[in-house]
Amino acid sequence: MNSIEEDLKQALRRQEPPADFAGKVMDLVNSGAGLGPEKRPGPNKVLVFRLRPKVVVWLATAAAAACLVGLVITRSYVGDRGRVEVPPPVSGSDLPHQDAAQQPNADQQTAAGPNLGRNESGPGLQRMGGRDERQPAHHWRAGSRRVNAGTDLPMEARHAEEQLRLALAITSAKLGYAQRSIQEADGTNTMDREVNP
Amino acid sequence: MAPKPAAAQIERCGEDHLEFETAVREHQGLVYSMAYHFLGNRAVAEELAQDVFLSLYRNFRNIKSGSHLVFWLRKVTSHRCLDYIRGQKHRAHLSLEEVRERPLKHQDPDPFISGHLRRMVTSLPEKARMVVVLRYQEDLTPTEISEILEMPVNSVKSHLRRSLALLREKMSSRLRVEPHE
Repeated sequence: MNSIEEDLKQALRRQEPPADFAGKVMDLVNSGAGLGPEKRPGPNKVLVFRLRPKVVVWLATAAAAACLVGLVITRSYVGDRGRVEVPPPVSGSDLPHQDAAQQPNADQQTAAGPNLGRNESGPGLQRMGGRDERQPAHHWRAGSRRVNAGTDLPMEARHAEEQLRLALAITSAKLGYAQRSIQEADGTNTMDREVNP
Repeated sequence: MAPKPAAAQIERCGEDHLEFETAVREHQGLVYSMAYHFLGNRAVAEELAQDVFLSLYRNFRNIKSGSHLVFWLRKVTSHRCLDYIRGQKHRAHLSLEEVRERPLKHQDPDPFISGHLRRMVTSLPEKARMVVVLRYQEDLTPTEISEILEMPVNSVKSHLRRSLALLREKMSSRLRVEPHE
């Protein structure tokens, strides 16, 4: 312990109160003065104490910071939801024209056959014919949809795979139906040639 | 006629009354000194000490032992002192710069240095001042002080360290500028 601590102990040693201190206290107790319920700060005093200017400034700052954080979190949450939204269902009219070499098997042809009668000579097939046929199938809608390489990649990849399978099935069914129609038409022409050479 | 509430209370306390008077006489120095060293004013310290003992009288039945009584008195006195200072619109104590620098001889007797130190202690910030009073008047450890003032032990140690550094610096600067007589 150094000197200042010794000096402090010396300076702050206990001191006795005035000689009549205990008598005064006992008189107060005996007279009952000051023995009522203890004074506590009322609600207004507490409120005033808590709402000092500094406290108000800090409260306002904290509230503003909380609002800002909440806004940022909400925005990022909404952005995430928009990114993983399920794409709209694919219609046959959106699909590109496929080569005849990519014909599906017979099961797929019969399964999709009845649905294709409506589009046989409709605008869907015409639009399909109008597309660039050199464009490969795996570039389908590559320009309109961006693949996010971030956290949403597995879900995006699954959607893309499902859509690609569906597109291939529909396309092959349509092509099969068209091929059969052509063969039937060729057969009719052949018969005509045989009858009228 | 129904007895007055205070008289009924005294009657009810019965034998406690005598014990209370003994407790007052035994611990009046503790309470009064804490208040005086913290506030630096004898009259206010006496008034505050009376208030503490009246509060003790109200709660005397809850006191379980002698050590509990001492702990209770230290705790209530320190909190009453802090509340008193906070309730003052104008700070009652002087700042370190306002402390009157009386000439000090190198071979001064202790009472003079003690008086000067007491004035400097009353210029410390409230909590630091109470920590210093409890540490050097009551000779309590930082852990005991932390229990009384309900603050972390590290805060108590930090208050002590900073207060000592401040007091030491003030004392040494005062000795440096003092002309040799």
